[in-house]
Amino acid sequence: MEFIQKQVVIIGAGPSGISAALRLKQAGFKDILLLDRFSRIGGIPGKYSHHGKPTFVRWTKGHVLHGLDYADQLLKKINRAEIETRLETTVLAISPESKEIQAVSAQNGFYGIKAEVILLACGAREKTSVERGRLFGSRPARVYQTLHLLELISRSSGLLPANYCLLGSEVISYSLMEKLEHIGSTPLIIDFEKSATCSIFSRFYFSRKSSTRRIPSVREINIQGQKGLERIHLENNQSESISTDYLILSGNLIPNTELLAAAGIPFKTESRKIQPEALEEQQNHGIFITGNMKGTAFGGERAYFSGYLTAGKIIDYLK
Amino acid sequence: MAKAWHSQISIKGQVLYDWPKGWCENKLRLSENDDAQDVLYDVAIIGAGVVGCALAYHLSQYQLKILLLDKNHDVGEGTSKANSAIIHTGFDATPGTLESRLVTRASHMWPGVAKELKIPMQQSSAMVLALTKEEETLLPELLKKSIQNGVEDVRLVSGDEARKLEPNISEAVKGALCVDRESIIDPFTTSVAFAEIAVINGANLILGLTVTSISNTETGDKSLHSSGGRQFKARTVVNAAGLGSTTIGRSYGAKPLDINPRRGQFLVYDKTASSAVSRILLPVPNPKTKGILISPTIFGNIIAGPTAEDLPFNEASTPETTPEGMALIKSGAARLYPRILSEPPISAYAGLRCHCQQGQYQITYNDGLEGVVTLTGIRSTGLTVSVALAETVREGLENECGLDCKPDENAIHGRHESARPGWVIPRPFENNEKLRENPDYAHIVCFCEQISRQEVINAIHSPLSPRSIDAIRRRTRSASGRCQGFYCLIGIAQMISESTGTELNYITKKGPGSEIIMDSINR
Repeated sequence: MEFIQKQVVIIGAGPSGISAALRLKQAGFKDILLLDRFSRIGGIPGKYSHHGKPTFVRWTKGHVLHGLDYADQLLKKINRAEIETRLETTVLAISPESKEIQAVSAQNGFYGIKAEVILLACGAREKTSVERGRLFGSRPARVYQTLHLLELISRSSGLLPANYCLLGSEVISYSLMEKLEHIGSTPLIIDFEKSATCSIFSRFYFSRKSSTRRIPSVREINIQGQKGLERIHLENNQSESISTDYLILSGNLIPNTELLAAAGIPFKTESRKIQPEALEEQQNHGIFITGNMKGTAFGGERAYFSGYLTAGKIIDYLK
Repeated sequence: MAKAWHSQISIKGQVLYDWPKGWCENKLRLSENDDAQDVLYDVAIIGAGVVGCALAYHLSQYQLKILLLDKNHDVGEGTSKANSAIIHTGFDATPGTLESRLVTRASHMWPGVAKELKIPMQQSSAMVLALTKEEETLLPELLKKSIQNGVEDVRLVSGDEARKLEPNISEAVKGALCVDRESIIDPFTTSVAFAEIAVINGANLILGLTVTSISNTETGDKSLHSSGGRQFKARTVVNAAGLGSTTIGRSYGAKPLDINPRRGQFLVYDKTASSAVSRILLPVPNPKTKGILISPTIFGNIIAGPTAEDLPFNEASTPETTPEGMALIKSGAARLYPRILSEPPISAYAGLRCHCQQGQYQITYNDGLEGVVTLTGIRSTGLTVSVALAETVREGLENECGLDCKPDENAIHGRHESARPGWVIPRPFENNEKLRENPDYAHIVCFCEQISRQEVINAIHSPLSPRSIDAIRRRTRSASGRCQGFYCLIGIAQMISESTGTELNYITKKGPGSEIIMDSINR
């Protein structure tokens, strides 16, 4: 297998990976390689397409940026800083002792990378229905995670009005709710929690014009349908049976830990958070983790800031 | 292997779907290819589960016109995809029964069959764990029973020896029975491999068709009628329709049987849990139930289960998971491997066993009608016995129903490649020459299982022409890893759509009625 040498390899070109790359470049480190397995940079924000309503990503600047616009901004910065980026590149294996990576892409084939520093910025995903623990019943079509719905909205000629149930009350849930309202379907929001998870400001922003109903404190959900989803049965203070076409399981993010597992780096099994001692040990050796992958706080802006901070640690390491 | 093996083979049989227009290409639709209805088949097999598929595979080695039918939209989509995926040695069967003889025989056939058909299988071996003093006293009985069943390569070990072999089992283990040849297998590939070879050899496979009755024709052949008003003719018929067998049976005066679904629920754990346990771990069985086992899977996960819940008979039974079931599995599994409670489950599934009150393994030749064989009540060991049962039924068809079986020298009996990418042949992306030939092998679409775009496309064009997302998932492992398709599910649907010229809103999870989008077409 052929190897290439790089000083810093960043796995994941989402907000945190890009932020780290930009800070490192600015600090004078030129030998940086940014990898991403998707066909575009930007991570999750890049998946929010122009169909439907804009997505709430940049809060601090006081206005709402569409996911794709945010990703485009990041792309401009990467290009201006001339950071080498390889997209549609999947990292297959990582060896933390020798700091070697095995990667494959249609463009570059199967090859290895030897690095002085490896930064894992692999982001997070939503938990599966079984991982969430309180969903039972059959496995019909049209039980989705948020990302599925975003892709369907952008790939098909658009979703038609239908009955939607959204499980969750995080920002992502309300943002999705707004998108669905835009296509003429006010979803029902169901929640295991008693109070909504996202802040009152976010909720106000998204639902001020909405007629969404929220059913809190649901203990269990029983999914019914032989082929396609037909109804869901809720166990809360009263039992409710709701006829619905789609059930979307939103929020409940956990870090993408496959590469950690492959590298033998320990993390907590339930939350997928890296143990602090393990994190420290890896950093002393030149392996860093940033952004949503750390599992402490999620979100585009937070990930960007996390990448910035981790870059500082990398700069110290390399000096 | 830049080209899929099946692209270089001529497929003699037809695969047809009884689907409305638009759900798949017209060339695959029964309505557009009704010459399949004009054939007088030698054998029609109702039910393309592992038993029906194994029978079709075996019969396709002879000069016979075979028809394989299923109401589902892929082979092995019933109980055959929702079991413990274990190839049993038969050590714990009831000695002297047909089941015991079939399992013991089949377990010796399997290594050869798996190798020829490229079905992923591994001799992971098993241990029956005694957790109490009473259970410990039952172990010598189990050993004796095993030897009575013809399974002699078993041995008893102490609790400490058991913990040396499996360090993570409970401290409470007092002793164990080691069954070395107990193996794990890919149950999805099993049905697919059998059916693929049958179709390549000339069998016709019709999916999405429900047979409702069988009657005699004037010539003494059998006429099969479907709910959609279709008709097929065959000299002999094998009713291997599992839970659906009694309804069809009543139409031809079959021996009355009381069949009900006995549900088994399973939990699937992340691959990160897999290093903890390398053998199948079983509890000492009690008179009520075989108990909750833990097993590594051939895919690298750990599964725990099954439960055993008798449900009332219902034509429209859908397997479901329940909170009680999940709790039972966790507590049962924790007895054997305590740390399992801290492992995150990624998925759960349920299967409905074909439980017959009159007893398992009901095989009746000329049942009600000459030339009709009822083959039902197969449970617990169906996956294992499939290869041996196929031979037995072929002999029965010859001796009892006068079927003339002449070997077909041109029939193939193996495959060049596994449906599970990389099992026999190294993953395509490990070879740069192959990647240069076809870069789509380097384009990974399922990150959790590291499956490439080309492998998914090869599966779409494989001999059984799978058209549903679940069918593709079972063949490629895509959307079946830890994220359960979070990243790739819609992409898989898109690939099916593009490869077959079917619009995205007609793409289904498991056949018409399970479309991925709610649309005017399915409202």
